[in-house]
Amino acid sequence: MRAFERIQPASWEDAAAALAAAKKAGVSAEAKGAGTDLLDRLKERNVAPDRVVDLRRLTGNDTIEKSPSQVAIGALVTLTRVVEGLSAELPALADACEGAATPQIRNAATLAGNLCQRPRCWYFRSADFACLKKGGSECFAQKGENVFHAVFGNHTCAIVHPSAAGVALMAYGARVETLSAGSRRTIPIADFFVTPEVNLASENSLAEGELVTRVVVPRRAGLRSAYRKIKHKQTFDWPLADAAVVYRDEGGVARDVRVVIGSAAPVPWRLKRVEALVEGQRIDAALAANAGAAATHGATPLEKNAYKLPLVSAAVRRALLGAAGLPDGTEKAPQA
Amino acid sequence: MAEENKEGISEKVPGATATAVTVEIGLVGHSPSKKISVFLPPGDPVPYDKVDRPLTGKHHPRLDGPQKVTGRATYTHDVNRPGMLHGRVLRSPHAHADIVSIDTSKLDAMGVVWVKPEKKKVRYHGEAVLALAASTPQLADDALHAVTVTYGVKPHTVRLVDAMRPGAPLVFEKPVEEKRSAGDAPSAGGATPQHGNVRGPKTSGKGDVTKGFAEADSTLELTLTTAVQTHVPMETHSLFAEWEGDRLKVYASTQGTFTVKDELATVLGIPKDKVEVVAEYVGGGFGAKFGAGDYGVFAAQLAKKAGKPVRLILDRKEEHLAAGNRPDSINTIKVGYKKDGTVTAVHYTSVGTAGVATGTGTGSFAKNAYGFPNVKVEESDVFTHLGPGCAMRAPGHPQGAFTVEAALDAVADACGLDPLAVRFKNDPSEVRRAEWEAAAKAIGWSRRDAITRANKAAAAAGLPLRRGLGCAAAVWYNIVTKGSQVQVRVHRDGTVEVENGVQEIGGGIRTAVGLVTAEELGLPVEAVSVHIGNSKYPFGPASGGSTTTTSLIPAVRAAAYHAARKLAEVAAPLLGARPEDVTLEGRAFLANGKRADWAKVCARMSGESILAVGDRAPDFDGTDPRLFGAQFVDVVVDTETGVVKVEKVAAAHSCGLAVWKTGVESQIRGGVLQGVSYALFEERVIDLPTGRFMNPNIEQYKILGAQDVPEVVTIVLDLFAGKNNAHARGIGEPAVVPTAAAIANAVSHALGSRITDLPITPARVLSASPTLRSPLRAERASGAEVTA
Amino acid sequence: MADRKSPNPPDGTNGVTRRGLIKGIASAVTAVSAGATALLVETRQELEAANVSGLLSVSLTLNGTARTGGFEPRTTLAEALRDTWGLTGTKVGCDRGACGSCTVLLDGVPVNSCLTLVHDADGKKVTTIEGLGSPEAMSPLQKAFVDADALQCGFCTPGMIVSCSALLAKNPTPSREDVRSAVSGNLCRCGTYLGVFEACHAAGNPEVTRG
Repeated sequence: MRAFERIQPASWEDAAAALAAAKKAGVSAEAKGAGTDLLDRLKERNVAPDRVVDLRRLTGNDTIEKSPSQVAIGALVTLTRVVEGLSAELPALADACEGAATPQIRNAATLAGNLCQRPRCWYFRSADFACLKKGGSECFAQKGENVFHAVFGNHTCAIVHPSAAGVALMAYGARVETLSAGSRRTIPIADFFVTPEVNLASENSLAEGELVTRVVVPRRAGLRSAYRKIKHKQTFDWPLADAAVVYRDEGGVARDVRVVIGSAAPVPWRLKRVEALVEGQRIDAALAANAGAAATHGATPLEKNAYKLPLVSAAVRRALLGAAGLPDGTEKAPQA
Repeated sequence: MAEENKEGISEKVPGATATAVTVEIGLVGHSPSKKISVFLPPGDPVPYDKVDRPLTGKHHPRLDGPQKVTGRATYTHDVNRPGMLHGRVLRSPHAHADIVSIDTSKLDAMGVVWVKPEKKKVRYHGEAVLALAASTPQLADDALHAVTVTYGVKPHTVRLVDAMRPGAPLVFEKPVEEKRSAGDAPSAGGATPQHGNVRGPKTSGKGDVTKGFAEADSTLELTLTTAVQTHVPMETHSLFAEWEGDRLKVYASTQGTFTVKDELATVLGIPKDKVEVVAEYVGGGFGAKFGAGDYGVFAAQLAKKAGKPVRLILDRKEEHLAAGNRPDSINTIKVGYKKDGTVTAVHYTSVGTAGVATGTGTGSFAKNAYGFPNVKVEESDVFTHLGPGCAMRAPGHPQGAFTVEAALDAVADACGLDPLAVRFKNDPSEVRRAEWEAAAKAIGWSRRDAITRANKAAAAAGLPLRRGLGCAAAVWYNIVTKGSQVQVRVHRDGTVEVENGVQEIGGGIRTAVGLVTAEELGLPVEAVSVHIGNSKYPFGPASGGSTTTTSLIPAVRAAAYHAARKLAEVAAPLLGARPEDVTLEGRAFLANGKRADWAKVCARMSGESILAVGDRAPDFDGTDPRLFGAQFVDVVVDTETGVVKVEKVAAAHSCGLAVWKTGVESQIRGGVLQGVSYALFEERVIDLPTGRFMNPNIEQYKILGAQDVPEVVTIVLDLFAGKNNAHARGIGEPAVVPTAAAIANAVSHALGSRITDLPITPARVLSASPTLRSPLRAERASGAEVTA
Repeated sequence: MADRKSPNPPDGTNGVTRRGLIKGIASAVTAVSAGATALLVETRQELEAANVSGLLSVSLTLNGTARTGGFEPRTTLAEALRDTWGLTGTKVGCDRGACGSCTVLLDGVPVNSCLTLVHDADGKKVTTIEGLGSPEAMSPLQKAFVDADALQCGFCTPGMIVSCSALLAKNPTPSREDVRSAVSGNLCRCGTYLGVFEACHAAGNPEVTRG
């Protein structure tokens, strides 16, 4: 990686000020939490900032606060702490974070970092390709090697958003709280992630120098949720498809249904059509199968990734049944 | 190949000086033993005649375990010197380009030394263009980015089927000479026609296939493909070079201390006695680490130029791009068979690409694994603008097994026979028969028909999971590196040193050498210091092709035995016995019911030490040079997602008499797990427009991890194999040969349709699976929202 | 017995004593212009006195001993451990957090030292494989690895053991499934996983009879 100046701010406000100062001075800067994604990109020289503003050693925004109405998770809370601390309250988020990385990375990587990490697209990550996202003129995945790429919303840039936590948080309807030099704001998660059509250069709506400080997840009575992923390898692997389902159980009927799929589009992808299908219904095997089938409506697979469609269906079907506490048929393999 | 081995490996010891002895051979507890007469070099020990020996053939902790588990074992990556420079290699981002110019002007100001290979073009993404060395890794990284290379990019061809077409960009303008390395399949080399990018076919075989097909009741034909697999040793290729005057000392992460020594001496043009190669601990190799490599030569050149030691470590990306791989293949097999499952003829063709290298043939398994009477093999290499393939654990064999075993299952299906019954029909090997039976029992093969019925019931119930069982055979060859020599020294104070230059790459040769030496001397293994991994010691084999144990251990035994006999001369007067009646046991010399302490005898030696040398005698005649194995697997397939999970593998193998049983079992497990990884996960992805390798990492190039590991039952059958005084044979290659084939057959069983391509990705399972159109989907059809 | 000759001096300082390095500050300063990235000192004051531009000080507790060094900001913990502090038991297999060979404990928690900047470890406790035992005094877990032959080439082994040691600290009697997930960030190409499951399970469940 290229040499950089390390900025160790004393507070979150200082950190935001340091990023603003860099911007003003025309000096490139990156904020770093654990750095598990940033170091990867620094080593590839995919990014070569003049300054790195370290957040990892800051105090504040590093706890999980639970109240009857919400769970507030500090930006610096590690994935491991989300898994260990929230598996009862927010099982879909805990499961998503558990599958998001290896144990070593979960121990370091933060929730905010998981949301803000850059895509794994091999054209984007390789310094040898000046792809559309990096200011070039072509999304090489469109006609190239796209086996792991998007099957929805992929016409401009075919990355899949890498955040598993984002899939769950979108389903929970979370809010992202941020800090910039001199200002704070709250962004509904649906507005946090942005498509390539909105902004090619970034996967989220954070302004330059704006920092995620907390993620707030609302709680409601009767909330049920589940996250399911389909992976090629069972040891850590980026999912081929994943899905989160959140709904409110009202006398056995599903209300306020949210179905979000991951590894499928440049943003966590909400399936409103599937939500409508399930809304007000009693979830059972047949409904879940229908919902799974409906999940691929409007998909635009590329040459090498149409195989993902049945995986999307399976993830949605299984997440629905999981949220409802019903078996999905994978409990037991045939025996002689 | 086996035919070549049968002729090529056995050489009689000149009768005038050799001793003829009778040796019983055969599989312990299975086949009846047979007696053969063999010739021993003068004074050599007679071959082992019992399974139960004090130290060898048993479980024992790995001798270098304590060093390895505490982080004290020093690998080439770990070598460090004050003032040492860090080497890096600048590599081509293009698949095919002329090197127009290289601007190194910034390097001098940075205090960076550099060397440039003499080449005017690059033929693959990742080919070396320049090497440099700097005082820190960070500065070296900066320096790589300070060099500007101007390329004239040229058309490339990277896909096997494209490269074969007339008019494809040529990788080489002229026919190429084939290089051989120690880990190659023995069939490599020789004269072969070349047209365009296609080099071949090379034809071989046995019997008369025309006659064989005429005798068949029916024929079937299958085409199967395999993907490029990279070795991924956890320690990447690396070399540390240090000059002392005109002497070069290197530490190398290598499978061959002597092959590196030879290569460095040759390429650098210096005498062999000026080169010392150390490889005390090596972080895996799997076939890719026989030579010094261009990076090793660069390290030596940079060290010379800088007047400082240089350590050059390839990063993981370079390891993928340029350090070797198992070539891909398209294999077509046509089988003639009788209604009872007997194969009468096999016509086997393979094409594959090793990029800018050769050696893609996969036909050896078809010729050697079974008793097919008539076999014709045609193998062609296809050049592409991709990094060089090289030997990888049992070159050609996992691919060949995948193809042939799929065909045998297809024959079983066509004849309405059990797949194992078809193996029995075509397998004359008594050793393999015992392996088939033992492993079939361990996997529960008798459940197969009931599983088929349970799968049908699951499909009818709309459930996604299916189970499958599959089996496949292993074959490999007793390949011996001639000339291995071992030195044993026993000192007046009773300490013992055994020396050979062989390298420890994970197989455990250090432990095997220690056990054999100690046993001959009647000592506990702790009493022996094992010195290996340095070319200053006597010549030893490179570790590849399952050659290490069989090449070295008989020489170890001979050396230790000679030392024991010399000591017996010293002990004899103390015991009032003739030297030939003295035995060594329990740190003592025994004869006439009397006992003389080891220490006491050693103290009486006339000099300061006794030195004995053991040579690897040529192989004995009279036994099959092949190594056999049989594996069975039990898999679960999720037909809704295409995800395959291997639940259990039963692996039965025979490698003569195990020298160190713990190590044999570990190697079998390791081979099986590499086979699982090859079957399910591993695939190099190339961007066609640019010819670039897109997944040169271990994240998107997927290898098996802890949660993909099945239960593995290892069954080691003891075989008095003949061939050498320890009945010693290797196990590294055979363990990996059948696993992927057995998994593919099991998945095919689970799906009811044949898997024809490796790796068995979810996409492939879904497209192979007619059962995907399960009631799950039928149910959807009744719903409101359906999009197909 | 295994050959124990090591190409590096045994004190873990790569042939340069700490005193020598302190004395050598002047030359290190010279070297900075050519890109020195690390400097060993006893205290932060010494580093400040050395006034080496571009190096920031790090003080941490390494295997129980207080250590201070000056490093360029872009130095990873793995590089500092291996190249500066001479603790080469920590391996670098992929340098991208995928293989786990570089696993160390940071305040008792396993992390990838290749994805951790050394400055992020400032003020923390770092435990490497060398801190868990020595060939002469192996920890029960290390001993269990040898007993189960949970290693072949040995390159991934330190990372495996560090991951397992953290599991045992948290869960003294893990099941084999617990071990599987604990080492799911450690890749092994030789295929020693079954031994690893067995070893860690046995180390945590000593009553289990070993095969």
